[in-house]
Amino acid sequence: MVLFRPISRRTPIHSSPPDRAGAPFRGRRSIRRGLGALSIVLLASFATEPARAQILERATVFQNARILDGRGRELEQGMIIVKGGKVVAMGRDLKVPALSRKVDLEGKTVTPGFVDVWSGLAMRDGAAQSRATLRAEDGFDRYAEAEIREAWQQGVTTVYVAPRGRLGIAGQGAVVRLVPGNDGGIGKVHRSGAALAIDLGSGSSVIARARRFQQVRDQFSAALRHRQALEEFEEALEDYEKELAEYIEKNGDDLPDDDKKKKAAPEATPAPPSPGPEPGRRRRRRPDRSPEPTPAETGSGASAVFAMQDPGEGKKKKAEEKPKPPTAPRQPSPRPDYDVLLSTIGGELPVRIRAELSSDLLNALALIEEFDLSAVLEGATEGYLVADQIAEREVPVILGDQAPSERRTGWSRRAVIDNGARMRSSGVEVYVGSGGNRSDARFAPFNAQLAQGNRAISSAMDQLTSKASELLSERELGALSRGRPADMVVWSGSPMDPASQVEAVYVGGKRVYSKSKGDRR
Amino acid sequence: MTPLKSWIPRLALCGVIAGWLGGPSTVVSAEESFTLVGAKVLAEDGRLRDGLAVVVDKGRIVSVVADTQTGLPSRRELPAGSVISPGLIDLPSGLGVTGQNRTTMKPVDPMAQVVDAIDPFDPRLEVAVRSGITAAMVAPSFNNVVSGTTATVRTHRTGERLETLQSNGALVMTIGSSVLRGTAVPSSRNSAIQLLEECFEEAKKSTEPNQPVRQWMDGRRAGLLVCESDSDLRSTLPSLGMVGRFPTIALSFQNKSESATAELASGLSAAGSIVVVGPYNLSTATRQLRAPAIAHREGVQLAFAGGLPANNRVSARLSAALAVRHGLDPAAARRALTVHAAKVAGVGERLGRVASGFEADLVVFDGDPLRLDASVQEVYVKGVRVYRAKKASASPAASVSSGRGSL
Repeated sequence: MVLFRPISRRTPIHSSPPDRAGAPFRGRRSIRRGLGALSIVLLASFATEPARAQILERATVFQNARILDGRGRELEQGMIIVKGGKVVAMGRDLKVPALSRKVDLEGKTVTPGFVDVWSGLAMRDGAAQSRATLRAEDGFDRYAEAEIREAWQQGVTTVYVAPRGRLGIAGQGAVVRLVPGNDGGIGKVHRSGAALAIDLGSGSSVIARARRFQQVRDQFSAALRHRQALEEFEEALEDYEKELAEYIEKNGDDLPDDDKKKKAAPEATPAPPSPGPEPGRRRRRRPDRSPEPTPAETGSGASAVFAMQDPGEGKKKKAEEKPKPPTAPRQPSPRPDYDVLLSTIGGELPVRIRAELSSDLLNALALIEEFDLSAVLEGATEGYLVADQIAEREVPVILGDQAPSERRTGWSRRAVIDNGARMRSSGVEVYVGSGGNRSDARFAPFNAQLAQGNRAISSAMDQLTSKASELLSERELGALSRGRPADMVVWSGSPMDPASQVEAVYVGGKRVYSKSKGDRR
Repeated sequence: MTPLKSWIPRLALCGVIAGWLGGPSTVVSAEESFTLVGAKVLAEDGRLRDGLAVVVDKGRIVSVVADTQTGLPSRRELPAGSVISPGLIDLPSGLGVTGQNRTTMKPVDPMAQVVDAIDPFDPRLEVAVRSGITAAMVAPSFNNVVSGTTATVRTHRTGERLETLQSNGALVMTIGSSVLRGTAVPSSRNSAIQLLEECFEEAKKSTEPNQPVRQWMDGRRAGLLVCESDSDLRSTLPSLGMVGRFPTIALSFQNKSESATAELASGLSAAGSIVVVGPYNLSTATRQLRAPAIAHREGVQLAFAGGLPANNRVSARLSAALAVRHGLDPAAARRALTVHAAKVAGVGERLGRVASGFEADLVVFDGDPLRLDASVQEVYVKGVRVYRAKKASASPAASVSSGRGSL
């Protein structure tokens, strides 16, 4: 990178130097130019792969396009200049850089790559046991090329995916850009840990759902107790250090061996091994739902810690003879899953809660309120029944499949087609994704159109571009403008017209799909 | 003169009573003539045509003329971008019969008539009307090898009855796993086909001219063969060859190779069958979604299944949109939704086209019906406007009616 920076500030290599009349200096200048070119070649040959690509990469100019920028602006006969995977200029009658590669789009429509805010694309079944530390990218099959290609064919280039698990805390979702890697796989994690996914609603058993809600709530409570225990441990540690110092002052440094070790490194109190995110490894510890008692549970803070260490009566007499050194407080075991939950409390990490029935939605709202979560609801089949409560708490909702089978079973018993419209009229902020199912993931644009036909949303295109990036807090995605990634889709006609076909898809400026070739390039 | 004057109110009263007894026709006769202008018209060839006016009188389309023509009766200006489409027809439909047992005990029961079972108060009928579905070919369930005959009804209820457009419709035959019984005949595809052949043999010998199978074999009745898979159809073809008649085929085209789909489609095209495909949804495999385009290229006439209320109210339009995204010509898809659907439902001479002489069952969409974001603005049944969407306002959902009967 150090080598790269001075080069990038230079005049672009394709631009010709100004022609000045100065014959005496021409020779020196040509030498200088030759040295410059040589240095570029040398730098390029020594530079790292990405830097070399950027130094030697030619700009690509897409000409004669109808551009829909994803922010509501439309430009006829427009040009997009792409370099280094990003849009460097967009407009009409731009100056074309020399040596650039030109692509004439013959009036075809260019849109940003669509973003599916609730997808199940290429997700494989999750771990047997769901937990907060699971990450969606571990379940994303980067070699599911057929599925991903079908998503490209519908204009989708970015997806939010979540671990597929059982009811309860499923794991952390991720934003994945469908860009081919060097290893033959497709998909680059744009943001890991984008949200914590909780499923309160996809199960059909009422009892199981209610029980799971309680378990989720207990886990959040346990996480809070864990935080309290950590704080109390810190306090107890300070007290311990003071008492230890007093003891040494009074009795000299004649601590037993164990205490000497503790004095040397009280923080390094042997802790049980971390539960860790390694899948498939059976833990010996007790499960999450009944975390081991913390000092907060057994008593109050440091005193409780000492109380636990209190020796028997017989030994007390001995201690009277010789004062016993203070006991080091016990550090609570590290809990990475609680750390994830704690990051959601207060809103640092957003939460996605899937809930379908009105009762589950109310449970979700209660959870959001109790733990001050920054949450988005997914599904909400019966959202229209509790729309006012959802609106009151200002919780956005992502609707799933807008053309479900009308066979009324389980939680779809009270489904209505105008659910989204009714929620929207009550003031709920409504978004649309493909619904988190692997098989439906490719048809996010159709789902958004159905939602628009049902008046649940105002514009299908917005749902896939500006609204999507707003919901995911990924402002640089879902739009075409200078400085943003060149994730673009070339359509034969209007993107929302089913008769239009995706002609080509570019992710990061690289063509990943071409209809004429029928395959990614 | 005086006696005649005294008779005028009496005659008027008689007319009103006769009209009331006559049901829907009275409503139509009371409706004025009008002309719909300002919208594109979904023409018979499946294209959307500009600059046309649809003149409706006494429940029928009397002419489709240039909208610049003068002297057109009572012009109703539609918003720009609207599309006038023939009323959609749901097939094979379960409207009015869902929740009832549509399966008889006998695996071959040609005499069962679904028309006897239709409940005119099914709330989903109203939803169908609001979705632009003005007629439905109600079919018996596909759980018998021969399960009886279909009926085509209008979905808009007038008074206490639904208007039946065809009471004793197509003979429904099914080959697929849905007809198989665990411990009784038929327990395999072969035995199901054997039952079908026996049924044909019996019908040949039958002296009863109104036996539905006999009627179908003689060409006096339409037939609908529902095949779960392509191999079911391939296995049934020899039996159909025995009869020498090809019914309408309801098929989902599940061939893995496009050449196999093309080959099958070519055969169906030569036989002159209309093929009902779908319903497709967002989970349907891509190779199935490509099949309509291949079949159309081979010359097959297509129709799209809707299948209310088991499927979504937009199922037929969604199926068409997905097929178009996968290569089907949009005009062919629109014809499949309208002209061919009416043909399959046995009402192709009355409904399914915006053309002179056809009944004025019309739907005004605010865009191309193939676009799923297009919604229904107005619905006319026999020239009477039976539904009108409320205008979109600040609160968009205000235009959506209450949930009663919502799908």
